[in-house]
Amino acid sequence: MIDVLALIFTIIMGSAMLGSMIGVGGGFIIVPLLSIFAGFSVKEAVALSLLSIVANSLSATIVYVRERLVNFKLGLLLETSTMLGAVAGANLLLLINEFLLEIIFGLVLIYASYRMIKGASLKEPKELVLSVKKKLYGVSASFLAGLSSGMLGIGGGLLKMPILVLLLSTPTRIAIGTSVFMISITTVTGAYIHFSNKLINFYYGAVAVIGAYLGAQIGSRLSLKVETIQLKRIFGFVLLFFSVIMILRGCGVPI
Amino acid sequence: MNLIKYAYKYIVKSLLLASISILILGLVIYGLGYNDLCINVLELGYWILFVTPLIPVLTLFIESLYKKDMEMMLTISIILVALIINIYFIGFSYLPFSG
Repeated sequence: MIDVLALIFTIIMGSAMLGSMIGVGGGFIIVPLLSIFAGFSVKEAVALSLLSIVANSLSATIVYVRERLVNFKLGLLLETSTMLGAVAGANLLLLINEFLLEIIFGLVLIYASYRMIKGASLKEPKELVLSVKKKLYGVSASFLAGLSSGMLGIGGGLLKMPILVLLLSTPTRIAIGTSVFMISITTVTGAYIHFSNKLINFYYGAVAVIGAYLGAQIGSRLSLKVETIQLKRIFGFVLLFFSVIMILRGCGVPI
Repeated sequence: MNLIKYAYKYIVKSLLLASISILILGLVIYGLGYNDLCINVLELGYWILFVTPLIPVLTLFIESLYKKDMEMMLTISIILVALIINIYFIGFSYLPFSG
């Protein structure tokens, strides 16, 4: 049992470090690693992942709030449309070919990763300026992001970060802080539902939460020291990796 | 009034640390062999963790009431209703791979 606990701690802490640094939860890393190396079923891995992301995102948000890097109003606005989109998406799942959707989204995310990597060296906006038009774009894009989450079960941060940075021209660090704030609201219901359905092993969960908290503390503080160019590039490559996986899954490769 | 900053600095931070401390205590109790007690302690730790993310949402709602910010009030109301519907009526996670 100790070796499984140590493995869970390491995986979760590492994912939390990376995730909190670039504004994602890290579920797309945690779930496959737990399945492959710790022998978890996908359901168990997802449940543990969601639980750890609650701790991870809360821990990171505390750091970013202190540094005034969270735009709460924008976060809540986008979160509302994402949640509505996700509920709609989950209900539309039966009507849509999910494999085709994965390929389409994978291609969209490849383009987003290209923009993030290529545009990493461009001058950052000093502050966030939101016109009504930009708010509408943001709300619409978040609704679509939520729709895809509901249909494909993909994560919040990976979709929200490109919306914040590329569409709304949010300074990268504020985008990261706002994204983790949104994730902390999004994941708690999922984690609670899995907890009440007894899909979370209490001992594994405790170790996961501790690892997530520590990893997020390290990752968020590291994020403040790393240059924004590097943050954008790291996120861009992570997004590229994830989008390739989505396309492969869409083509029927069992990943 | 910047309630949210203080909410994170004092309440959210304290609750999160309390949750983690209780989870660590639970693991120690497990190590000592008191399995029944350990489960109860761990469950308490989890409950505190689940309640914590609601604190900022409620704080922002109170702040929006004070500032008479209708947009924010409406946004938060929709989120709270969606959370309740999700948990009690739908009962599934729409973001199983949330990341």
